[in-house]
Formats: sequence, structure tokens, C-alpha cells
Amino acid sequence: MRHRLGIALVAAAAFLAPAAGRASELDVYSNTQLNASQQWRNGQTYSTVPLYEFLSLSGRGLQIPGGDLQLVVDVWGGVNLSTPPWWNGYDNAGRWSGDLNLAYVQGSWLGGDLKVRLGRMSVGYGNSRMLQLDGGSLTARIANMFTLDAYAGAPTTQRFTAYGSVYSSNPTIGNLAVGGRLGFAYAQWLNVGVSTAWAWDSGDVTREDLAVDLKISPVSWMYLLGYLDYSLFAADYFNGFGGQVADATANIVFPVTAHLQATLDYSYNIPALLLPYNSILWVFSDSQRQYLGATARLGLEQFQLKVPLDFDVGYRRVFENAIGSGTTGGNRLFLGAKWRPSTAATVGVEGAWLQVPSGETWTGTNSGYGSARAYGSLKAYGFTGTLDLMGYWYTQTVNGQWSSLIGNATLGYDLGSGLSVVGAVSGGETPYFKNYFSGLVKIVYNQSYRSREVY
Amino acid sequence: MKTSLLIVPLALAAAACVNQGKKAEPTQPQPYKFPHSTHIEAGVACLECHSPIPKSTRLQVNVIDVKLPTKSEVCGNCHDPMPTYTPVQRFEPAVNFDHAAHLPRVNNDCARCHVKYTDNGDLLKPVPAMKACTSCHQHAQDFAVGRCQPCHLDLKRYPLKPIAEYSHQANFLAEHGKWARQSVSTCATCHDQTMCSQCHTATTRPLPPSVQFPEKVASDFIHRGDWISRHAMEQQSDPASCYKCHGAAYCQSCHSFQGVAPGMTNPRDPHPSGWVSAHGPIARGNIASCAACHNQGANALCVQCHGSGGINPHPPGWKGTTSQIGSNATCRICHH
Repeated sequence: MRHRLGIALVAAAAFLAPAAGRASELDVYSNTQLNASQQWRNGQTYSTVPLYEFLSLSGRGLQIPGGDLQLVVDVWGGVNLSTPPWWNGYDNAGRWSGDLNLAYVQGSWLGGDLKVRLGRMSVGYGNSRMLQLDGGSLTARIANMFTLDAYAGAPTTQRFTAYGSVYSSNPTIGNLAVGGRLGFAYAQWLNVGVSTAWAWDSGDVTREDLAVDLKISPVSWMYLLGYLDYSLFAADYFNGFGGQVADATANIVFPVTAHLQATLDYSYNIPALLLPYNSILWVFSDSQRQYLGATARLGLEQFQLKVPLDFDVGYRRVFENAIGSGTTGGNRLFLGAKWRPSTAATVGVEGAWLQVPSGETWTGTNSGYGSARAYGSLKAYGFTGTLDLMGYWYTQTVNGQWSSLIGNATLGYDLGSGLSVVGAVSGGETPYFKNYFSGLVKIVYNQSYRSREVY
Repeated sequence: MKTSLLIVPLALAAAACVNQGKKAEPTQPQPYKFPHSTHIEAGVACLECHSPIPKSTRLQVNVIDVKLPTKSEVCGNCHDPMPTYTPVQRFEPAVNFDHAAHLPRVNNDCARCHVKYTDNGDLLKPVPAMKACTSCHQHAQDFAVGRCQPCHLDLKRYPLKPIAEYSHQANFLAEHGKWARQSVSTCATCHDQTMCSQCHTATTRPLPPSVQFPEKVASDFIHRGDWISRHAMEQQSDPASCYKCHGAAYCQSCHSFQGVAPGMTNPRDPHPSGWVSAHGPIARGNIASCAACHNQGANALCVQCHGSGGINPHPPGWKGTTSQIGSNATCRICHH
């Protein structure tokens, strides 16, 4: 595995270097970070000290015949300096690890009406569910009304190790996934599309879905959004339309201004239909979830008051329908306020409450929690300091504890030329740590290079 | 095969770079030479020289839509003989703009938007400020929902506004996927996938964003704070939301590492006493919770009791038939 990863990284570095130098724009982001924290495993506390490097390169505007090219690489590497931390994947024993989050090239032609992307990417259109993919994607815009998006490839797996196996951490399992969306848009007020997503794991179907989506904006201050993802696979095994709809949403959004917004939303899903269809578990399931809620944001600037204070509120009612427990309900509430006394300062408070549907609260699980948070940040003389205090209070104990209290403090300094350093400490008491402490120090480099033949 | 998935696109990129290397090095920007001010003060109409503009429906790179008149009384009033002048075609559009559609609406008055012009010696071409657009087009609502297209071509060249100054809509963290599935290209106007990948590469990424960026206190990061202690409650409240980003192996990997999965040498069994008789309805209600620890393939624990001839696990409404068994490997795990 490491051999293959090494080849991939060397290839990326070798090929990107000359490309980046000639790109019209090159964004570089480097984050070198030393974390020190505690982890709780098997009833014991372990100290972990991993050193990370996160590197992102994005080059745009590289001229090619008839169009231009974009190059994106997002990669990380890490080394354990103490007890191994948990790193996503099954091979956690090694001292070194790393992975590619993104590595793709994108060609754009016909003024951006045709785009072809190859490499490791995320696919977010239609019912792809933001699929992380090793393969290709195509976007075509026709007559400013029709769009065709299509993708094909293998669902990404951690460390290139587990294509087509249950050991992949990708929610879409398999060694081949294809799909796409055909859309029609008219002016600003209508956008409708049909999308499909298929995936196979060594020939066995793991996804087989067809979806429709709709966005209508009859007036500029209102949007109607709709989405329905239908499982063609479940249609062969479950009676009734409701048992075949994996995911559906309906929203009304009122984006009146940046300081006055509201949404009404309804969602329906069958959690088991989000498991891969070659999972033995989905044939057991018979539960549906429905969510009904509303959110709103109100800023005092809406009333011409020169007070940069915004309020957010959101509520969701959860309905779980399952055999044995019938329909049970839960609640989720969120409240928040954010004040920006100057461009250099932000102060915020948040509160939340979650009540899990009672059908879920068998002995050994928790029925919910309440939480409160206060935070602030201040920039002065090149320094940026933040303070973040969070508390959670559980309605039943977690590991014998009723609450979790954590505080974070950070201090950063802008060295100029895109360089900055940040130090952070975190401490508190959680259900798993009587005295929790962690810290990090990082050097961040964030710079854009521009080299234009025009202007 | 797997490595080639990465190398092939990078090789294509390298080929493009080699091709790029054959081109001449970019030259230094040359100053503009045409004295717009003199001509405007002399009463020369813009369209005398910019005659293609009324039919222009799209801005194009290095096209400024100039067609100088060959015989013109307008020029002849001052110039004798007619000067030879080749205009500098140097322009990179930052927006989509349809001159043909807009000119009639301003009665061909170019100055409604173009309040500054290039003159001798200028290096930069002044373009109309955004307020020229927003004097007619409502922008507050576009801003509120992040609707930058179809006007803006690419906003990545500008630094992102601080999150505290920009809001797409209330509860955008939870709602943004609904917008993105229809118009992901609109997101790409401002954001590279490198931004999406801070959260949306859970398969490969080692840290959640709140751990990597503790200094970004005002950002709406998912899984902030003591997530470990409350993640089971969140999963019970909305199990589907977990499986949109995390495969079951993601959960199993950590649960094994932490020693809470079955089969560990020192398992801390999360199931209460009496679980065997109680688990059926609970599993039906949240099978995704079972998947966080239990194998879903041929070695699934469930098969030991629920295999063919055992306790029928299929829920009411099940319409699978024996004829489907042959074509479905999952069925064959139990139905030999």
C-alpha cells in the first residue's frame, strides 16, 4: 500500500511542479501541524502525538488548445511520535500514513460549456451524495438551458487499499460507480433535473437509484426545493412506494436579504436504503424517518440598525416509524446569536437541545442532551486570539457521567507573506476523561500566485 | 490499475504543461494608446468605433469589439490623413455580459455603466464597478443565496469573505447540499473542491475540520466539540445523515480500535442484559446502528440465527422471491 501511495505522491509532485509554475493562478495552502492529545481505548488513556502536513495546490488558467486547464491536489501525510492515534482505515499500526483527498485535472472548453475532469475528485450533483471518486466526470452546458453531468470510476477508498470490499470507508462501496444528471434551467426561476446513481461491487449491485430534483423561484425572495431519490433495487424487494424512497426533501426558502432569511423543510428517508445494497443488514430494516422543521435568521441591520447582531433559530421535529415501537417523536432545537462589534472581533453564543425519538431509547442508549457554547475572537497587532467554551448536559449518563465541559483557546500571529503560526490548547472534563488536555501548534502558509498574460 | 487512476490524469496534465512550455513567454503589459477622453469630449459616439458591440452577446477573452471606420466623416473632421491605429485587444472578462440585451435598456448610453475609460499610458482597463449592475439588478437576494452565476464567471481570484460577514442562508451547513445537487457549478464560482474536501473527504481525511482549525470559532463545522460522547445520540436521531459521508467500515474501524466492537479481547459490550430477546424491533428501527460494529457480509452475526430455516428476518411488505436468489449474492448468504 505504501509503495503505491509513494508512487502516486511522487507522480503528483513531479507532474504538478512544472504545471504550477505556468498556471495563471496558483493557490498554495500548507498546514504543518503537531497535535498532542489523549485517546481513550479499552478503558485506558493513551497519549498521541501525530505530526501532520496538509497540502493543497490549485492551479487555474493554464492554457491548452481551445481551452484551459485546472489542476487540484489536496494531500496529507502524518507520522506518529508516540502511541498511534486512530487513523481512518484498518491498518492503524504504522508510524507513517497519508492519503490523497483530491488529485484531478480539469479541462475546460467552449467558454466553460464543456468541462472534463480526471483523477480523484468529489461528485456532488444529482443523487451522487458527494461521492468521492477515482475516475472521470464530464459537464456540458447546452444552449444555456440544458446541463449534462456524468461520472464513472471507482469509489475512493482509504490508502488505495480496499476497492470493492466491505473494508472501504466510502459510503458507496464498489469497484465501479457510474451516474449523472440531466438538467433543464430556465432563467433564474426554474431548474429541474433527473439523476441516476449506480454502483457495483464485483458485479453485485450496491447502488441503483433514480432521482428527480426541482428548484422553482416564482419570486426573487422565495425558492421551492424538492428532491426524491427512488431505489430501483428496493422496488424489487419491498411493496409500496414509501418503502422504495431512500431519501426525499421539500423546502421553502425565503432569502429576503442576508439579514432576513427563513426556511421550512420536510425530509423523509429510509436509513437502511443508504447502506450498500449488498449489505445483509438492509433486508432486516423496516423503519422510516420524517423530519419537519423551520429555521430563521434575523439580523438587526435588517431594520437599518447599525448593530451587527444576527440571531439564528432552528427547530426540527423527528418522526420515527418502526415495527414494534410505532411512530415516536424527537426534537432538535438550535438557538444562536452572533455579534461583530468590529471587523476584527466576533462574539457568539449558541444553545441546542436534542431529544432522540423514544423508539431509540432502549436501555444503554441516551435520550438526548442540551448544550451551550460561547466563543469569541479578536484580532489586534497581527495577533488573533480566540476562546471557545462548550458544555453538554446529557439526559442519561454517558459512561457514568452527566456532562461534558471543554474549553479551547488559540493564539495566532500573522507573519506576513501568507505565513502564520497558531497555537491552541484545549482542556476540560468529559465522560471519558476526568482531566482532558490537548494542544497543537501549526505553521500555515496560504498564498496565491498570479501570472497573467492579460491586463 | 489503481495507481494508473491517478497517473493518467497527471500525465495528461504534464502533456499540457509541455505544450504550454512551447509558447512564448508572456510579455509585459503594454500601455493603452488610444485617448478616449479626447474623442468623447469631441462628441464621437462610442459606437462609431465599437460598432460590433450592439450585436455582442458575450464577452470574450482579448476581444474588445473594436472595428475602426475605414471612411468616416466623424474621423475626417479632425484627422487628415486618417491615422493608422491597431487597438490593443487585451481583455479578460470577469463576468458574463450581454451588451446586445442591455444597450436598448439604457438607450445606447454607454456612460450609464462605463464611467471611466482608458487613455494614453494606462496599463489597466477600467471596467464598470458592480454598482453599475446593482443599480438595476437586486443583489441582496442573490448574495443571500450565493447566486453568483450566471453573472460572475469566476470569483476564486478574490479572497473569500470571512464567514462572519457572509451568510448564504440560515442553517446553511445543513441545507447546502440541497442547493449543490442542482447547481454545483455555482458553488465552483467561488470555491475549489479543496474547500469542500475539508469535510467531504471523510474516507481519506485524518481529522475533522474543528480539530484542524480550532481557531475558526465562528465557522459552522460539523462534529465540533465533544463529538465522541454524543455521536451515538446524533446517529439515533438521524442515522441516514451518517451514511451520506461515512461507510460502515469507517465506524467499524474506530470501534475496533477503541475496543467496543464484538470479538475484541476485552470487549465492553454495549448491549444491555436481555438484549437477545429485545434486539429485533430495535434493529429494525435503526439497522444502521448495528452496521457500525457488525459485519454486513457473509460473516454477519445475524446469519447465525436468521439464516435460511432460522428466524425469518424479512419485514412485512417484503416481496423478494426465490427466483431472485440466483441473481443476488446477498440473498445467497442465507439462502443456499
